[in-house]
Amino acid sequence: MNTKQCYDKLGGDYEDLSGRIPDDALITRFLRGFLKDPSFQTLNEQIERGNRDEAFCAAYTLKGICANLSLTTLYVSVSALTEELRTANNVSESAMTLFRKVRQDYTEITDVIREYLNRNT
Amino acid sequence: MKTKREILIVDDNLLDREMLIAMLKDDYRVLQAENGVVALDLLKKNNVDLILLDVVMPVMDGYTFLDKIRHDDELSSIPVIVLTPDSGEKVEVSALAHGATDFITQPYRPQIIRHRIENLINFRETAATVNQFRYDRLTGLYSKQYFFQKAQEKLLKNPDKTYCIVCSNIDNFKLFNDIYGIDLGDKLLKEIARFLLSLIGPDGVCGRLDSDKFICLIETPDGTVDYKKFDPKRNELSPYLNKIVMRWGLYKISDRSLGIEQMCDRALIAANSIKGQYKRFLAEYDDVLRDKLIREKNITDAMETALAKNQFFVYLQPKYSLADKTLVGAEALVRWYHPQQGFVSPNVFIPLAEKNGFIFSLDQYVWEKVCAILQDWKRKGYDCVPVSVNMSRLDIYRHNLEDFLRNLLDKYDLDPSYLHLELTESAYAENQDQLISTVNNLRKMGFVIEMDDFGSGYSSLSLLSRMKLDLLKLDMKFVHNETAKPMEYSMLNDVINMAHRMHLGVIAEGVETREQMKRLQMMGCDYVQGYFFSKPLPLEDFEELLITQKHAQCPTRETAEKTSSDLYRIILADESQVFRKSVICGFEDEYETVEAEDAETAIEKLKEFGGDGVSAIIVSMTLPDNGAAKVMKFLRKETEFWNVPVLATIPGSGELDKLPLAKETDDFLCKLHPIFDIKKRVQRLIDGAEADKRLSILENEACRDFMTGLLNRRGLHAAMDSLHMENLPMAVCVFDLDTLKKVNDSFGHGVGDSLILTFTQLLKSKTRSNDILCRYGGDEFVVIFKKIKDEESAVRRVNEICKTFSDSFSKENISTSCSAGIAFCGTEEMPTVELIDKADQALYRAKRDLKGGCCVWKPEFRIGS
Repeated sequence: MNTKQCYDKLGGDYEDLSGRIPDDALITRFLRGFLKDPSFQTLNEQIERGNRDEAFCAAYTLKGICANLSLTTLYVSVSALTEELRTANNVSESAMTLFRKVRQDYTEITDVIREYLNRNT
Repeated sequence: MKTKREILIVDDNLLDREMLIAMLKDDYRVLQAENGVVALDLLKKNNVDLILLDVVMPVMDGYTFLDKIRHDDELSSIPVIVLTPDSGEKVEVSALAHGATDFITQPYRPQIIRHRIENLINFRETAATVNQFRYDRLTGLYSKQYFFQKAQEKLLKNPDKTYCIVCSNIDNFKLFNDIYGIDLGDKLLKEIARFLLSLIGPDGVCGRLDSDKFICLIETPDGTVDYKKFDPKRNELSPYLNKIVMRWGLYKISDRSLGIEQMCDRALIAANSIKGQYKRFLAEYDDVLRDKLIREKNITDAMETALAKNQFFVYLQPKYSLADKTLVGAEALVRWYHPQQGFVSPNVFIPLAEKNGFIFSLDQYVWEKVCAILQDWKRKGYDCVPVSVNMSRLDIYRHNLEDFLRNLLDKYDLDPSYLHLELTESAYAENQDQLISTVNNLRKMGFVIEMDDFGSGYSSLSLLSRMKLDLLKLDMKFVHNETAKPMEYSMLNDVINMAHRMHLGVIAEGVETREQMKRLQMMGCDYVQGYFFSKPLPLEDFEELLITQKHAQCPTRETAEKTSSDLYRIILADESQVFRKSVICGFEDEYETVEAEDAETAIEKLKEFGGDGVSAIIVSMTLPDNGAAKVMKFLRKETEFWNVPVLATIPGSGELDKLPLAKETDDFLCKLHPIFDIKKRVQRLIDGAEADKRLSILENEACRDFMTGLLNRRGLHAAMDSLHMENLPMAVCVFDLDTLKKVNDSFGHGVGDSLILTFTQLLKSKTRSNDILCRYGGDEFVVIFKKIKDEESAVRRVNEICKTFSDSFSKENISTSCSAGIAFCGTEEMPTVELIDKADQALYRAKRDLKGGCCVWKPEFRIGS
C-alpha cells in the first residue's frame, strides 16, 4: 500500500496534500505524528466533561490538523462539530451527535493509517 | 553568505509546528515555543524576524501574547502572522485588531507561506530604513527634516490654533561629554528627550535638530507660554541635567507664511542670544532681537564696500617709556566712519568680521596701511618709531601668513623690527602647536611679538613659556583692577618680575589716571599706553607728536639682546659628541656654544666669527690628527685672536703627556669635571679677557692726544715699537706749524685750535689708514709713511700737505704755513727711533735755510758733524 492508496482508503485528498508536501516520506512521518497527536483525546475528554470552551479549542485545533493533512472526511465532521460548538454555551445534544460522527471517522482513519504504517516500515 | 532570518513558531500543537518547520527549515532558522511564556523568553534571547502564532492556545492564548509583545518597545515591531484554520472573517478581524500583521489559514501552502513571510520581513526592513531617516536613533524623536514636515503638517491642519516653537541649546555639551564620557552624554540626551515629550503633551511635535539642539512645536491655547515649565530649578530633572546649562529660545508663531525652517531659526537665535548669560534660561524672539540682527546684517553687508571706499581709517595710539616719558611706539587701531551710520564701534564690527571671515581682508588692509605710513616716515626723514598691529586669532592660522608679511616688508622696504605684531592669546585653546610654530617663525623673520590682553581670559603660563615673545601687554581691565588694589594684594609686581625674568618687556594698556601710572612705575612696568597719555590719534596728529616729541627707539630685539644677558659665543672643539652635547646643554642660558668636531672645523668657525665674535675657546687636547696643535698655531698666528682666552680640556688626569701644549693655553681642565665647573672656569677666563681689553682701551686712551685724537708722544713710541721690516721702506716726517704762536697771540686760542684741527684733518686725508699720525708737541706733528715707494714720493706728499695748508685760511687773511723734515728709511736699514731725530734735524734745516717748505735729511745734517 503506498501513500496514495492509503489516502484513498481513508477518504483523504492525496492530490491536494502532495501538491503542498511533495515528499511521501515526510507525509508518512506526519501521519505517524497524527497518531500521537493529543487533540482528539482532548476533544473526547472535554466533550465528556461537558466543557464547551475547551472542547471548542480542541476541535478547532483538530480541524486545522485535518486541513493540513488533507484528511478530508474527518475534516468535514470536525468542522461541523467546531461550528456547532463555536456559538453554543454548552455541549449540546447535537454537538454530541456530531462528536460521535467525528469519533467514528477518527477511528476508521487511524486504523487505515496504522495498517499503512505497518506495511511500510 | 546571507544569514538566515529567524522565525519563531508559537503553537501548542506539536504536529502543527512540525509541519511548519518542515516547510520553512530550508530557508529560515526556526525556533519553536509551545506557549506564550516560552515564546516571550525566546524572543528576549534571540533576534527574531517574524512570529508565526497560533491564537488558540492554553497558558496565555494567542491574543494575550500579541498584546504583550505589541506593548514591548523592542518586540513591538516584529511582524506576527496568525495561524488559523478558518477563513472566517471574524478571526481575522480579531487577530488584526490585536496587532497581528497578517494571517495564514490551514492547510498550509508552503509557497504562499514563504512569500508572505518574505514580504513581511522585507517590509519591516524597509520601514526600519525609512524610520532611520525619520527618527533620531538615539532619542526616538523626529529627525530634523521629519520634524519640519510633521510640524508643517500640524500647522496646516490647524489653521485656527496658535502655536509656538521652542528650541533648546546646551551651553557646554561638548565639555560634558569630555568629562563624563559619551555614554553618559547619550543618556543625558535621552533624558532631555523624555523631558521634552512630557512637556509638549500628546499633541506636540518634537524633534532633535542637531547634536545638542532640540526643537518642539507646542500649542498655546491662549497665546501664552508658561515660562516656569522651562525653569531648571522647577522641573524635576535627573541628576545629569543639573550639570549642564540649557538655554531655551521661544518664537511665537504669528506669520505662518514664514516657513517652518525660518521659524525654527528664530527660536534658535533667541536661544543663542542668552548663551553665556548667568541667570537667563529662556529668551523670546522679539523685535529688539530682530532689529539687532538686521543691524548686524547691515553692518556685515556694508563692510566689504566700506573697505573698497576707504571708510576704514588707521589711528595710532602712542606708547611711552615709563622711565623717561619718551615716545617709543604706537599701536595701530582701525576706525570705521560710515557716511550714514557714522562712527561704528570696533567692538561691534570686529566680532562680526571675525564671524564671516572679513577680518582677513580688514587686517591685511591695516597692515598694508601701516607699512605705507612707516615708509612715508622714512622718506620724510622722520625719526621713526615702531608701530604695532593687531593679529586676530584667525590670522595666525592663515597658511600663507609669513609669505604675505615678507612681501609687505619687501614692497615697502621696511625692517621687520618696525612692525610689531600683537597677538591675543585668549583664543588659543585649540591648536597651540600651530600657534607656537607660527610665532617662532615670525620672530625668526625679525618681527617683534607682543602678547596682547595678558591677564584677561585664560592666560596660559605654559603657552607663554613655550613661545618666544618680546613684550607682554597687560590687559586694560587687569591693569585697572590691580592698580586699584592695595599693593600687597596685587599681583602686578609679580607678573612684571616674571616677565622681566623671561626677558620680556611689559607694557600696560588702558592707563587712564595718574595714580595708575605711578603705581605701574613703582612696579617696574616698562611702557604704557592709554588715555592718560593720549587717545588714539589720526595720522596727522600722531605725526606731529613724532616730530615734536623727544623719542628713543623702543629697544628692538638686537639692542635688547646686546644689553641684557650678553650671550657669549664659545667655540668648542672636541671630538666627543657626548661631551659637546653636554656642554651645549649646560651652557645654554649664558653662552652660545658653537661646536666643532675637529681642528679644521674649529678654524673655519673662528674665521667666520672673527676675534671680536668669539669670547673663548675650549679645545680638547686629544683632538684627532694633532688637531689641538693646529688650532693653537692658528690662534697664535692671527692677531685678532690673541686676546681670546683658551681653555684646554684633557680627558683624564692620566693624560699628562698632553700637558706641555696645554700649558700654552690660558687654563686647562680635565673633561671629567662637572659641566658647572667647566662653566665657571670659562666665565673666569672671559672675565679676565674682558678686564685686559678694558685695560688696553684705557692704555690706548693714554696714548692719544685728547684734542686731535692722534697719537701722542707716548703713543708714537709705542707705535714705533711695533714697526718691523715689513713696513719698509718708510719715511718719517716731522711737521711744524710755523704761524701757530702768532695766530694764538693775534686771534686767540680758539682760532689757533681750529688751525690745529684743520691740519689734523688734512693729515688724515693725505695719509693712508696704516700710516702713523702723531701730535708730537703743541705745534709739532709726526707722520710715518709706511711702505712708501721712495724718497720722491715722500717729498711729493709732504709738499702737497704744506701747500694745501698754506691755502686753507687765506680767505680769513690768516697766514698759515708749515715746515717739514723728512727722514727716509730704505729696505736695507733698520727702523729706529733715531729716524725721528733725523727728521727733526731736517726740519731745523728747513726752517733755518728754506724759511718753510720741506727738507730731506742728509747725513751732513747730523748735529755735531
